[in-house]
Amino acid sequence: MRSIRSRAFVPALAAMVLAAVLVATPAAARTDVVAKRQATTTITFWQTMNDEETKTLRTIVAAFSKANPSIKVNMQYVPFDQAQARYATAAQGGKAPDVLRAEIAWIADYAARGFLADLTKHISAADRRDFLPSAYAYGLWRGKTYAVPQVTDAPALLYNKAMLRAANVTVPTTIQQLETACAKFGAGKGIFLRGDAYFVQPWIWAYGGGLVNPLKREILIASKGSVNGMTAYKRLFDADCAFDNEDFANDYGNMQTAFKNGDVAMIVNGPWATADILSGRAFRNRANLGVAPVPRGTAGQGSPVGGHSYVISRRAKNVDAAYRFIQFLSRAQNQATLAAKNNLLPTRKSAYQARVVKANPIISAFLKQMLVARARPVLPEGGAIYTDFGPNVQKVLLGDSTPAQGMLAVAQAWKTKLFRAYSIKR
Amino acid sequence: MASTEQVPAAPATRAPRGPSLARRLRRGYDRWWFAYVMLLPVVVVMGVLVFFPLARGIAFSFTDADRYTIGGQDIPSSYRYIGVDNYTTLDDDPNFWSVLGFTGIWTFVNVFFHFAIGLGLAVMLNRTLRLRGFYRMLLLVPWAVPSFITAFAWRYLFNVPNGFFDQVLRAIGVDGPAWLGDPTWAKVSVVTVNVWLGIPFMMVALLGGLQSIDKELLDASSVDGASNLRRFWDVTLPGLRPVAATVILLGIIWTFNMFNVIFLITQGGPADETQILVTYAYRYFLDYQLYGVAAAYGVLILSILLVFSSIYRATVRKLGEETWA
Amino acid sequence: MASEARAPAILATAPRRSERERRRSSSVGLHLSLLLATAIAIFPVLWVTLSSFKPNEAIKTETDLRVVPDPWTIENYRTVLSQNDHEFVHWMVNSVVVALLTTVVGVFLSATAAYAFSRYRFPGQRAGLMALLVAQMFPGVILLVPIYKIVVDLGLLDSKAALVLAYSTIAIPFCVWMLKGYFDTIPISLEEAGRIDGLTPFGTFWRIVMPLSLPGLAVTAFYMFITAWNEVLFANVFLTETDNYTLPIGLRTYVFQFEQQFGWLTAGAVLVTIPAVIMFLLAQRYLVSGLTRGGVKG
Repeated sequence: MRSIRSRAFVPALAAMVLAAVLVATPAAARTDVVAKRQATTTITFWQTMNDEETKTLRTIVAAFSKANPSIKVNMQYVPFDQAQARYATAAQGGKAPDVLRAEIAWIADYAARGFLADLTKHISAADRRDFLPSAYAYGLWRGKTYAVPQVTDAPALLYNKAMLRAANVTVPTTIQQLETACAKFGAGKGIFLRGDAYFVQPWIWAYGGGLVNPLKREILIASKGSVNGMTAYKRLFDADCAFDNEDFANDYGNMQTAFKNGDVAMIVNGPWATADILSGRAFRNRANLGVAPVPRGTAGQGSPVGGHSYVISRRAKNVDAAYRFIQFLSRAQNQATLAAKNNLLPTRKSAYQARVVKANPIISAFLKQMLVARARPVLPEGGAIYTDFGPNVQKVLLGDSTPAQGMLAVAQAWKTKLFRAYSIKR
Repeated sequence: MASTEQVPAAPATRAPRGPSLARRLRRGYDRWWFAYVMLLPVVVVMGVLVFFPLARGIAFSFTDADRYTIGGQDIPSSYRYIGVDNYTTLDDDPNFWSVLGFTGIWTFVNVFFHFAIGLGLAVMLNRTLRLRGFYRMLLLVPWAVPSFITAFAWRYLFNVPNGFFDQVLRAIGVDGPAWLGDPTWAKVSVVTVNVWLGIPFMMVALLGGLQSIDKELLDASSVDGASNLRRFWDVTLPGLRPVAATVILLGIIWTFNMFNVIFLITQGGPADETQILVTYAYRYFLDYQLYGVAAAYGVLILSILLVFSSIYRATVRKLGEETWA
Repeated sequence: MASEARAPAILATAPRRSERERRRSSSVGLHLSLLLATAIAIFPVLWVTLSSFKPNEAIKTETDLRVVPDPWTIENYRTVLSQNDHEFVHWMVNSVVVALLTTVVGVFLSATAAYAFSRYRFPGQRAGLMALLVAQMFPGVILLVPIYKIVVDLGLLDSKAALVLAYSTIAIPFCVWMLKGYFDTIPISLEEAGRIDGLTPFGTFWRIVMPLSLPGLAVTAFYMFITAWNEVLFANVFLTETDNYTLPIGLRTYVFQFEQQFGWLTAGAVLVTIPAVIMFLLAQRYLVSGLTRGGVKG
């Protein structure tokens, strides 16, 4: 029996439920308004440092909070390999954190898309002179500054001094010497080479190759030099003395494990890895870790300059407070602390004057590498080049393409997806 | 399937041209107002969150939306319509055909093993035996434990040289394969993991199907002197057909779009050899940020599945099945 | 199912002894196969659980074949539960809230819609069911961009509401289908009796049909919960603040490419699995009957 009452009841109920749901959702946003009314500013800070570095960072942040009681810092850890995409997604949705520790390759991309606050007026002339030019240049876009450099790095040749001594091997300075040195070790014990494009770059530069030349609008990855570099890398990768790297998905971890256990004599890695390495059983004696610049080739030498800088989001509620914060983080004294505790290279000339930095043998060794390191082009697409670079390097290492085919595939992918107006130099 | 018609049964839409549309709508409302009200929440939710985005997604596939043009909260969007360009240039990507091919192989190999092993286990669990409940509970573990955890576990088990499998092999003197590093073995590995993940669901569904087969038919056939195998072939399998047909179709759809396993274990590697269409589309979305192309991949996936399921259902129907849905 | 003791007449001619032998050996074979299958089913989970009791470093660097930890330590659990201001607990709470909300919303939506499809043959019924089947074919990827835009435009980025809606949407098609088939097997005479007694249409749904459908509802609830609990794709894109992460995203921070914190990962994994297993134990009684009592038959 359908009564008029029941006919109206159910639709009314449904409408009420729907209305309730619609009202309930924005309710969460109201808490933001309440927070603003309070006196303290809160700064959200996404940091991408590894575990050991985070420990040091925490003490620095604590010191800032103490000196600035009206500014609360909400620090969150985002894994490095997820941070680039996450920040972009958040920024597009209006929920970007106030401060981000960005890898230098991301800065141009973010700046071009309008995510970042212009810091040109905030940075003093004295600071501008103090920062290392290459590190500072990564934060520039169309003449404006968007980033404050924190740390700079480049992979170098890391080696186990005791193993080299035992095999009667001197530290190689050229690729040729590297190959000979490797051969003096037993099967799989000489060097661990990754199946990763970033770490192949030193070989590419060693033979006169390159990535892109923005001035000439050329893609260089398929040039003769690049192909020769890739060929040389593969030759060493396939050599008996090279660790049998069969698992590309996990090879960073495997490389670290093998080196830490003393199963392999040489690896290529950067300063960020040293804290982890020194916790391994082969390096209980810190002095056993050797650092040398990546070897020279017949036509050059180079290691990709990486690094991290602090950026502030354009829509940050309090840009001044945020700048105060990153200014504090990148103070010479704090850079020196990170350098001393975690072997991270400072980006301020003044920081290198600190005694703790000067006395750190690992930093001094990496500094030698920085002198022959190569800066990457500052382009928005810079962060995306590895998406196709990596798999094609792996194809070459697996033997599924020749080095020439592989590098050409990379060049073509870059041309179709990233650098549409560039030409491919053969 | 039980008849579920509400009295009266004659649908209002069969009414002659006489009454106007408004009249007919009103009459429809009178008859089925309750049904429509019950459906309203789902229609609203699915409409807003599935069909509307789907329409928008299809629209995106005809644009050049990318990182610069998609816009955001206060950045206006500036993408343009470019017709079917995203579709015609799909195979400009050298990996396209191999990704498509592996997606097909991935789907069919997985579902085959899901069904075969699931059926085998269901048959075994259908017998009375001690500890049946114990077995059944443990065999469902792959389904109960979150898949991203088991994915990580398998990924590390497969690690060369530090993973368990490689160490066991080395301990007995065998040089194991590069489970995740060799292109072919990587495919075997991800299929293995996905089969492991998908068997419980199949097993449970088929077990239920077995238990609902008419006992009388089974007894009748054995009284007639049929051997176990004959009985299985002539009574059990046909009795299972409705359930089997459904779960196989569902399995195909779900496996085709199975993102987690490949994304978490190999990320599509090595050298893009284990990419399937979903994971590859995700790369266009997240890495290249070429949103138009990502949407085109989505439409491609949808089209393939639509065509396939139409053919599938027609075939099943022809095999003498009663009406679906 | 009748045990072999009541073996059919055809075996009456075979000698008794070999019949018993055959039974025993087939029984042994059966148990062996099931044991093997069970071992394969639980091995990875067992390995994760055991590894969670090893010291963090050991999992990464131990290259010998030790599965059982020696020494045992609960350090990983302690670290995971307390570090970063108890972030893990936040994640757990987030996941529980999202999963429960999804379950409630999803079961309600699925049941009402399935009931409508089951009891009423209205214009648009077949199209509706087809649409639900088609909705299951959508890869999450194609929906990602448009749903992302909607979520952003509504200001819902980084909110639980966005996730609850997304997850309900993902899981509803299968549940509606399944529940419809389940409702189909409930005789309509019961509802007719209820109507005669004066119940409204909603009343018969709520008071008569729902209680009879516990197995089907249990399966739906379980499926909803598990979908929400495990989901990675949408959560990864929608959640931006670490405090708002759900467990899958939180655990991903432990498997950062350059540093794999296996100790934390395995401990976190065990902790994440416990609620899922609890939910599973609650529902498992109904899984077999709920899925198939007319349900999966379509």
